[in-house]
Amino acid sequence: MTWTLLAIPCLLFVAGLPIYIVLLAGAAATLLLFMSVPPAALHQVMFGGVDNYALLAVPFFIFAGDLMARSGIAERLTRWVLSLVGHLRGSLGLATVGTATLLGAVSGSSPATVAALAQTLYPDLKRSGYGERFSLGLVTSSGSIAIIVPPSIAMILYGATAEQSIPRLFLAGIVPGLLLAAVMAAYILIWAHRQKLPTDERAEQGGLAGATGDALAALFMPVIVLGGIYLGFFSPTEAGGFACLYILLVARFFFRSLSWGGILESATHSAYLTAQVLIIVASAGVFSWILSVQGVPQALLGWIAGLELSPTGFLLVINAFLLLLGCVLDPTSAILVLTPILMPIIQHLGIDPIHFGIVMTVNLSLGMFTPPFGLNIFVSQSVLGARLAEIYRGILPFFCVQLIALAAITFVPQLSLLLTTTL
Amino acid sequence: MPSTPKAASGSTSGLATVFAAAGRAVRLALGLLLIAMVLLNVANALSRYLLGQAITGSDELLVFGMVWLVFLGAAFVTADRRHLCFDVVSRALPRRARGLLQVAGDLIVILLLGFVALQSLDVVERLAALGQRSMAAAVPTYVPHSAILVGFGLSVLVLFAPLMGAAVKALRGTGDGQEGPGHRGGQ
Repeated sequence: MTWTLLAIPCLLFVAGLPIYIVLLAGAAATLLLFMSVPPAALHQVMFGGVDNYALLAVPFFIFAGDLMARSGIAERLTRWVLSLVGHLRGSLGLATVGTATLLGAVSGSSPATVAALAQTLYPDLKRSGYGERFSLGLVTSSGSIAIIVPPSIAMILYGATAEQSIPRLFLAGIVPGLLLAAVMAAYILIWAHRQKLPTDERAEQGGLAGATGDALAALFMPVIVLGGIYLGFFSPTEAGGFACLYILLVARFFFRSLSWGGILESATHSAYLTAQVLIIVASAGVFSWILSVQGVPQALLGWIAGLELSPTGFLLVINAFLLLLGCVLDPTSAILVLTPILMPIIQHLGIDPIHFGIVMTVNLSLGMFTPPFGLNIFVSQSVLGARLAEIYRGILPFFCVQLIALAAITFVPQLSLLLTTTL
Repeated sequence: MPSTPKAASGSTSGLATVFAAAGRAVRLALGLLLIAMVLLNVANALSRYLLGQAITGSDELLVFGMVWLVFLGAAFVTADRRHLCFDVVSRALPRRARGLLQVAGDLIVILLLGFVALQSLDVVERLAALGQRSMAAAVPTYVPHSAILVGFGLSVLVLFAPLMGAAVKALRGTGDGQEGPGHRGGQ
């Protein structure tokens, strides 16, 4: 491997340059210094990286998530979850996890979920005796569920990069997403009983029927998206388009919570967020292409094969590596850079690429709230104005709980593959 | 485009206002493009079920729209300094060192994107000369390919303008010597 593929990206990364520049600079330097390929290839490969129909789902689901965040759907979903679990000790904590799961099923954006939870549930959590530290940890860590529950932008990117079926990845994410929510809920229940926390009086107001009626339009959204895909009505990309149109119509005409100006503002903001994410896809395409031409994945494969690791041993090592990487790199960049490198090794070891996609996504979702640099930590800090040290302390127990779920997802492939083989 | 430094004279201030207005208009256009893409996507799926045939070339138009969304949008993200980055180390530096690091970083970005934009110009010119069109929608292929040229060209401009402004100030001796061309928004 040429030094330019490692030294330049590392240097520019630490210097704080944009990640797409970090990747593009390493690729361009290698191409100019060590390869006899016309530099116009940079344009061609970058264009080819984004000229991909499957990636269209990304702007659509980003738009759907942004519309949802602006339309008050999070509040309706919270009230509905509370109407289900309000009679239990720790009901507000359970509602946080339940809302995160439902928001994940609507949009798939982890930071958007944390921002929504922070605004809608954090003040109540603190008021109801959960304490600042626990509330911060809960809100910040619950966002990880949103990446895993389908539809998931991370899985779309993995599917497009690894050439795997996105509908199968979505299906494979359902049980792990619910497992993650279940272990979080179990911890909250135990903690709430020890702390003798109160139940939530809002559960009595209006009851389940009222809350369901209020949230029905929002609850119907995952049915449209996932039902549409798995009943064969449309592709994930088309599902993204229908999701946008559905939320737009519901928010504008049913909830009356969004004006036309608000919808245009949301579209403009979503276009901006799309550029933030997909420009990395374009650069990562060039970087991966140079890596492949330079034989890096093959060299790595040879090295891993020499270690004679079992699939379980490899997954253990890769889990540790991804967890560390997730602390400093966002899931988009990590998936786009690592997938082409790891894919030959996965295939060599006989690990199912769909299962590996889920393992990778869960790992990186934990990285989203792992100190010191997980993105969701800064979302919480920014929205709530909380102290970093307090967020770090609050996160710790939830990180340990989610590690247990990660171990189960990693070493019991059936958790991910069960639905893909039975449906 | 935003993020240009405050101009010293009335004429440059007027120019900055024009650029800012143009920037807002293009941002709005990107939002409208996304809405149009959603509608075309849904219309295509409905047409397939209701009329028995998809809208010809719609998939190509959608992808080309996305290409423009990404590269033109990236210029705005550059202008706002909101690209995803790992800026924990640079933030920890003293203000002056951080300013210098940012100028050095901006120069690297300008050189790199300028170089890619030049390669892009070469490709676009060749595609235009060939008169090649896309297979389904019959769009001239230089149209989607121009997105990289325009997006990266604009990115270079929005970074170059404040650097030039700072350099002119420094040469005239009117700068305070501490002000960097902006701040990185981080993630």
